[in-house]
Amino acid sequence: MRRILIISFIVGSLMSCSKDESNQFFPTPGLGINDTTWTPNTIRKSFLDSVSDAFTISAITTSFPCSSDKLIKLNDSAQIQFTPYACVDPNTNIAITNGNIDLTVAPLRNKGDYIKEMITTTSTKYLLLSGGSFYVQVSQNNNPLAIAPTSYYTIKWQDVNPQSNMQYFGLTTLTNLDSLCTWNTGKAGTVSTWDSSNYSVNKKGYSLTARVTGWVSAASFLDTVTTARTRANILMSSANFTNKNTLVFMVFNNQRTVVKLIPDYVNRCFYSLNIPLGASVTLFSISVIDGNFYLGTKNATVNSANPINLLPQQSSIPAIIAALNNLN
Amino acid sequence: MSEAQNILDDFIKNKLANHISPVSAALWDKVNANIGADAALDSFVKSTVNNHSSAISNTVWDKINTNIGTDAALDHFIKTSIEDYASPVGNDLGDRIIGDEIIRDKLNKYVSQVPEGLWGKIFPYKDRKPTFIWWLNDKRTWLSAAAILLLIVGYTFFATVRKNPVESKSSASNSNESLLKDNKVNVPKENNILKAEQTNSDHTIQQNNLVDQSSQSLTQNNSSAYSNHIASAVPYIKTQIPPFVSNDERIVSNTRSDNTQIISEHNYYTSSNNFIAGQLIPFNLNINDHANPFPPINLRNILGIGMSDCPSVNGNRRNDWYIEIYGSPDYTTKSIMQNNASNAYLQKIDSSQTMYGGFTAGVRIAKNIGEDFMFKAGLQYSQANELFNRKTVNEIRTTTVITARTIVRPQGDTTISDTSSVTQIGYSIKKAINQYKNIEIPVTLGYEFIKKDSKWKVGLNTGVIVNITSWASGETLDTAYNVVPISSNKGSSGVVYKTKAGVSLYASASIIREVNKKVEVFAEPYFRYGLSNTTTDVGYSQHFNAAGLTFGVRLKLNNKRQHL
Repeated sequence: MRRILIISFIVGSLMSCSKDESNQFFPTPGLGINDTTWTPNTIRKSFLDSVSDAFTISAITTSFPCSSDKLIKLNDSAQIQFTPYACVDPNTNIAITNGNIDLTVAPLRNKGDYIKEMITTTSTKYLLLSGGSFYVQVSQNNNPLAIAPTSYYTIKWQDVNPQSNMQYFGLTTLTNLDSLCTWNTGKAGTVSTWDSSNYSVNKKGYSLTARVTGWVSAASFLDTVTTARTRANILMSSANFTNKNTLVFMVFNNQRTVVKLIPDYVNRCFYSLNIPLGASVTLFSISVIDGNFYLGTKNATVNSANPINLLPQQSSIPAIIAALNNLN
Repeated sequence: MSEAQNILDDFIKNKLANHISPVSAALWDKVNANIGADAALDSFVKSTVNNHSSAISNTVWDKINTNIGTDAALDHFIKTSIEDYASPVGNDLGDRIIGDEIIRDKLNKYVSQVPEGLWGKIFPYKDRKPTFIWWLNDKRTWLSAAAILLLIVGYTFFATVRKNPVESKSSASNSNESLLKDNKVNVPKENNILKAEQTNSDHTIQQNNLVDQSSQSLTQNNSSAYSNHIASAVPYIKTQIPPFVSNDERIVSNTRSDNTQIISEHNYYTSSNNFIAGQLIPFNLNINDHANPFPPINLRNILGIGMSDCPSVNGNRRNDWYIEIYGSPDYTTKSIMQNNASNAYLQKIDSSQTMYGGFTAGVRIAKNIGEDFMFKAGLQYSQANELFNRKTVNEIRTTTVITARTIVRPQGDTTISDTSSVTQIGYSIKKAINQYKNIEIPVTLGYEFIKKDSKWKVGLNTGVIVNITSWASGETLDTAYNVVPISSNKGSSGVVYKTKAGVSLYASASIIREVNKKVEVFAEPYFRYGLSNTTTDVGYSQHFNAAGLTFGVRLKLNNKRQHL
């Protein structure tokens, strides 16, 4: 009798036990959003191309006679001037003595333009303060030309507070796509400041003279000796954003310095060295996942190596461009 | 032959026909001397007195009375003569006994002690009260409890009234008086022949019942040998006398343990009045032949059925009360009928919901009606489970992830825990167990096929299950195919189910195995069919059906057959 009651109780108890409700989720295979893994390899070129194609800067194109040395006005605040017969065929080094030279100049007007072109103001691991950067290209009949060794061109642009310690930097594309490129000093150019206040024209600026085309810049190294620095670590608040699909930039708010952060595969974060303590920055991330763009922005002050979280949100190309244009 | 000769013969015949000629003393001496030795004489005597009957003279009786018990030949003669002798009772003897005022007067004052232990065997059943568990404190529950209590009290009251004639036979002379009056006992006064022999008034009835005038002298002899003769000649005497001899003898002979046999003792009591001169007299003195102002209350009386099947005499009838504790796994089904919902919606509902079994557990009281029918009512809890299975594609799910990271700092590396989230796109399969719970009252009537001396019984049952209250939990789809909760609360969002599921039909077959006199176990495959809709206005109606196998234990509350 007792056994029967016990068995009945056990059976009843087991039957009364209801299974917990379940809600099983199965990620769709092949979707980038479901790929939360980081890659130890460098950034895929396809990803960079997708970003580069989405964000372009406006270039100034014009032409001038190959023998001319007249000033060419790029915009209200910049002008360029070539010495006569300054262009040569890069293959033969023979000067171009006939016809017009097609000129393309792309100034990086603000900090957002640096991000659009995925160019940072760094020289290897050191940060640079940029006075201005330009992309200069000369060509004739769609054939790229070079500047003759004995010739040069001068870009003159305005700046409200030109620094006297600016140097010439030329950009070198890196094979490591994580770093993309680096600015290097050299003897191919010089930088000077100008000030027309003495002529009752309150204008100041930089004057860059270079013997090479391509990306040129007037910049100076940040103080890396007397200023306290730290490693800045940026964590993406969503694991969906990895080094496969995200670029993170640190934009200094009070100077023209834009740093592209380097992916840290081990710690699943983005970082940069030599960030001055107390630097007021804007974190800016662009992600492309499954063709969708995500934008992450955040103002922060780098006081330590403690990670700063950044959470991108899905966005659109125009919205991102507008945000970049606001990065003055 | 000549006519004159015939006339002479007739004259002589008429003259000698009634003539008695005295036998001379010498003739008797000759007969006495030669009888047994003279064959011719023996033949003559035998043929002459073989069928002759002669009145016994008083002197003969005196001789018998003097020599009986001492003369072995006489004893042997009497024994062989009356050993198998049966004397018919006179047709008017019963009337004379009934009309005997002496018997009536004695019975009016007769007080018989109750056998020891009899009350102890009766009261436990009077005091036994069913126990119920009521946990729903509403008006209907109390009304039900009051109704059941009224039935119990009524049953107990009338059962007590039914027992009183037996119990008061020994305790109240008034009851005996009324009993005898009702039976019109009327013993003629001229039968009071043993008044002088009465030494104990309690024995009056016995003595009046056992002897008549002719046997009086035999009783007065008080001979043990004679008693043996009487005992052997009238074998019923010893078994029927004890209730009327003395209290002690009644106790010894009373092997009965319940009131059913007590009423049988009453039959002894009445039938024992039928003995006259050692003869068993048919005597139909039956108290149940008269109208009883308080007929026994039982389910047959309440339901008004089976009265004609009741035995007219006090027989043992099945009067079993059981309490059954049972539980069953259920196979449940659901039928959905369209009201104003779309076909697509019903298809979604149908494809996302699958019945997932259930169970039932409860307790019920069972009472037999007649020998084979069984009425059952109780309280049970049932639960039907339903598996809700819904697949959703292109579902975006965000999960929180805590990651431990090592951060490189100028002061030294440190490990931190970072809380982040991850969003994934995929398809989800949502499963939930919907539970439909009910508290119900099952009411069934069954028939049990009982084979005598078998521990197995088979029964068929049918009835209804009345739902008291229901509540549901789980998930389902609304008309927009969103997963919404189901609830029994009218104010909640989602699909609302009724709090009362109505009535279900019930049918079952049961197999019962007796474990011992008080415990039986049973298995009962059953089917129930829901008659009522369980949903509110959601565009479709829903009915639940179930089939299951009930296992239970049946405890017999009264382990006695009772007189109804």
